[in-house]
Amino acid sequence: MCSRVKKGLTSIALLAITLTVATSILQPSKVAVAQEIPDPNLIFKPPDESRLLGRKVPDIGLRYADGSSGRLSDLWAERPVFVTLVFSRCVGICSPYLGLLKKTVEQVGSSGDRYQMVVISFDLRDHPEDLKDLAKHHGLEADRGWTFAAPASQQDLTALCQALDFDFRWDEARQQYNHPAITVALRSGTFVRISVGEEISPRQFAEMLADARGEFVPFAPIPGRRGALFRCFDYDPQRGFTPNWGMLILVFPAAAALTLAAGIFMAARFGRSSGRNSQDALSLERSARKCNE
Amino acid sequence: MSASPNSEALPMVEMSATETRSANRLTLFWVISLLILFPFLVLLGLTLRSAQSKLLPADLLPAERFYSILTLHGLGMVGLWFVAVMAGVCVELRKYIRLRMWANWTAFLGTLLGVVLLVVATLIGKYGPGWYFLYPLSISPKGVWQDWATYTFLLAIAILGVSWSVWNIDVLWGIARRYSLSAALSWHYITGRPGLEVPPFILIVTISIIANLTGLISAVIMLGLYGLELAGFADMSDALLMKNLIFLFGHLIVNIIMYLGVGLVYELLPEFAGRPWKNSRWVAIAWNLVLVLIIIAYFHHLYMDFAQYKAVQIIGQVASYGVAIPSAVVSVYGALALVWRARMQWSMASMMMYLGVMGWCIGGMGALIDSTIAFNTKFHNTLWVPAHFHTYFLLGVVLMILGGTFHLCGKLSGLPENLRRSRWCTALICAGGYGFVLMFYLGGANSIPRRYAQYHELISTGTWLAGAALVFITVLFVGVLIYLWETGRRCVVALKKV
Repeated sequence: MCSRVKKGLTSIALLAITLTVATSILQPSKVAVAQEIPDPNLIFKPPDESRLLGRKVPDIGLRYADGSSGRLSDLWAERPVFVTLVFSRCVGICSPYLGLLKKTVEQVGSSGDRYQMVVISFDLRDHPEDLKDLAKHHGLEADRGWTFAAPASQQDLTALCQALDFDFRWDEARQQYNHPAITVALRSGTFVRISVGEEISPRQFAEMLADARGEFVPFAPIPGRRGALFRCFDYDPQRGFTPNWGMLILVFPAAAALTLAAGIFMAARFGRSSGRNSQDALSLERSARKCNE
Repeated sequence: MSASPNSEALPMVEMSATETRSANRLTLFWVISLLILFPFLVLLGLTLRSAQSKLLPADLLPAERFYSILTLHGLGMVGLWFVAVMAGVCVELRKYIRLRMWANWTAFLGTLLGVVLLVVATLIGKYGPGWYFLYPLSISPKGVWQDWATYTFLLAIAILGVSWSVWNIDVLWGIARRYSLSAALSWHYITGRPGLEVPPFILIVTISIIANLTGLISAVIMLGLYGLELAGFADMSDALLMKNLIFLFGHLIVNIIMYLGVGLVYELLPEFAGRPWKNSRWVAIAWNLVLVLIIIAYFHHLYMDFAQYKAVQIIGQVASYGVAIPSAVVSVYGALALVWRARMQWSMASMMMYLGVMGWCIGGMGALIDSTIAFNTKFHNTLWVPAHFHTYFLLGVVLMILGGTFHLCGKLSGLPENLRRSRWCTALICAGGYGFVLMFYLGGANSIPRRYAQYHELISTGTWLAGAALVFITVLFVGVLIYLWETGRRCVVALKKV
C-alpha cells in the first residue's frame, strides 16, 4: 500500500471518529432556533394509557342533547362505548376532530349496533341546546349511534375527568380551553384503550373496538391466518403443532456457514497445493513429512 | 494436559517492518475508537439507571427517549466489544497466519459508518425497540419514531453485517491457508493421530468464526425479510420466525465475543505466567462441542413463546448446559492450573484477564440458572437477565479485552507501568462492577421487571435498587477514567512511534 493511500485512509478514519463523536453530542434541540415559550400553566398533560388500563370509570349523570337525562351506565350496559370530550365553543381542535371521528366511524361501520359513540362536553356552560347544535353541525343529530351529552353536575364532570386523567386549562387571553383530543374505549365502565391526538385511523379505531368487545387483538399478525410468507409452525387446537417451511430457514444459516467454511478451507488447500502460497505450503509439507517419518 | 502425539509447531509468520507498522497503526485506531465509545456508552447506561432511580425526572427523559438510549446502549456495547475483540484477535493471529489489511480496514470504516448511522437513528430519530429490534415493533413504531429512523437503523445493521462478514471470512481464509479444517479444529488431538501442533487460540478462533458466520447469515435472512415487507413484496413476516432469526444472530454474536475474549486469554495469559497453555484432547473436545451446541442453545431465548414446539424448548435447555460446562470448565480449570504456583507477573493486563475469566464463570452461572426452564418462568424479563449478561460481559469479556488492550498499548509505547495505579484501577472497576450487577440480581430475585423506564410505586424496590446502582456505577466510572488515562497516553505514544 503506498504512503498516499495510507495517509488518505488515516484521514478518513480520523474524520469518521470525529463525526461519530460530534453526531452523538449534537441534538436537534441544541441547534433549534429559539421559539416562543408558552405559559407552563397552560400546558396540559395528555393521558397515559398504561396508567389508565383497567381503571373503573364513574357512572356519572348526563343531560342529553334532546333534553332528557340518564346515566353513563345506561349507555355502556348493552355495548362498548367510545367517549370523546369536547366543548361547543371550541375554535380549535374539537370540531375538526369530531369531523374526523365521524369519517372514521363511517368507515368502520356498525355504530349504534356494536358500539356507541358518546360525545360529552367538559364545559359547564354547555347546555343541551348547544350540544344539539353541535350534533346538527356534524349531521349527527338523528344518528342513533351517536349520543351528545353534558355532565349533570360539576361533581360528575370532575369525577369523569379525574378517572380519565383528562387535563384541560382555561386560557384567559384566548377565552378558550387548552385540552387534548381524546377518544376513550370503555367496556362495562372499565377503561380499555385510548386514542390521544388529532388523528384516529380506521385501523386503530377497529383495534380499539375489538379490544373493547373483549376480542383478542394480536400485536403481530397471527401466523397462518393471513398468509405470512414463511412460518415456523402452524397451530390448530385440534391437530396441535405442525412444522412449516419456515423451519428450513432456521436450519439454513448453520448449514450455509458450515458449507462456506468447508469451501474456504478447500479453496485454500487447492491454493496451497498449486503453489500459490509457497512459503506456507513448504513449511506445511515439511511438517507433514516429518510427522510421517 | 497432553499435546497431540508427534506434534510439530509451524514456524511463526514473519511480517515486514512496513506491514507491522501498518497493522499496528490500524490496531491503534481501533483502540482510539474503543477509548471514545466505551465511556460514552457507560454514560448512556448511567443515564438509564438515573431515570429508573427517578434521579432524572421523567420530564427530562421521557419514555421514548429512554428506549432510544437503551437501544443505543445495548447495540453499541455489543458492537463495540465485537470489533474490539476481533481487533485484538487479529493482532495475536498475525503470529500464526497472514491477514489482509484491506479486510481490516473495511471492517473499521464500515463500523464507523454503521455507528454514525446508529447514533443518528436512535438519538436523533428516537428509534427505540431495544437492541434485538424484535419484529414487528421495529417497523411498527406507532408514531414514536419516524420511518426514516427505521430505514437508517436497518441500513446501519446491513453495513455492519457486510463489513464484519468480510472481516470474518478473511480471518477464516488466513487460517485455512495455514491449517487444514481438521487441523484447525484439532480433530487429531481428539483421535490421537499425529499432526501439527495447533495453539488453542487457533482452535477457538476457528470455532468462533464459523459459529459467527451462522449468526451473520441469519441476520442477512432477517434483513431480507424486513426488506421484502418494507418494499411491499410481502404482506407480513411470521413473528416467531423473525424472533428465532434475531436471537440466532444476537445469541451467537454475544457468545462469540466471549469465546474470542477467552481465546485472547489463552494466548496472552501464558506470557505473564511464563508457562505455555497447550492444546489437548479435552480442550479440543470441549471447543468442538461448543461449535455444535452454541448454535442450538439460542432456543433458551424463546421459552416464553408458547407457539414454539416443546421439544425445541427442551433442546434449548440441554444445549445451554452442554455448551456452558465444557468450555467454561476447561478454560477456568486451565486458567487456575496456569496460574497455580507460577511466577505470575501481576500487571493490569494479567489481573484483568484473570479476573475476567472468573467474571465470565460467575455470569455464566447466572445464565445457566436463567436457561433452566423452571427458573426462567420466574426470571424471564426480570432484572435477572441484565444481571447475568452484565456480569459475563462487563466483568468477564470486557475485563479480558481491556487487559489485552492495555497490554498491547504498553508493549507498543514502551511506557513503564505504575503497578499501584493499575491495582486501584482494576479494584475500582471490579468493586463498582460487582456492586452494580448485584443491584440487578437483587432486582431479579424480587421480580422487578426489566426494560421499565420508571417503576410504579407497587414495585418501588426497583427505584431504590437503581439508586444504589448509581453509586456503584460512579465507582466503576472512576476506575474506567483511570484506565482511559493509563491506556490513552500509552496509545498516543504508541501512535507517534508507529
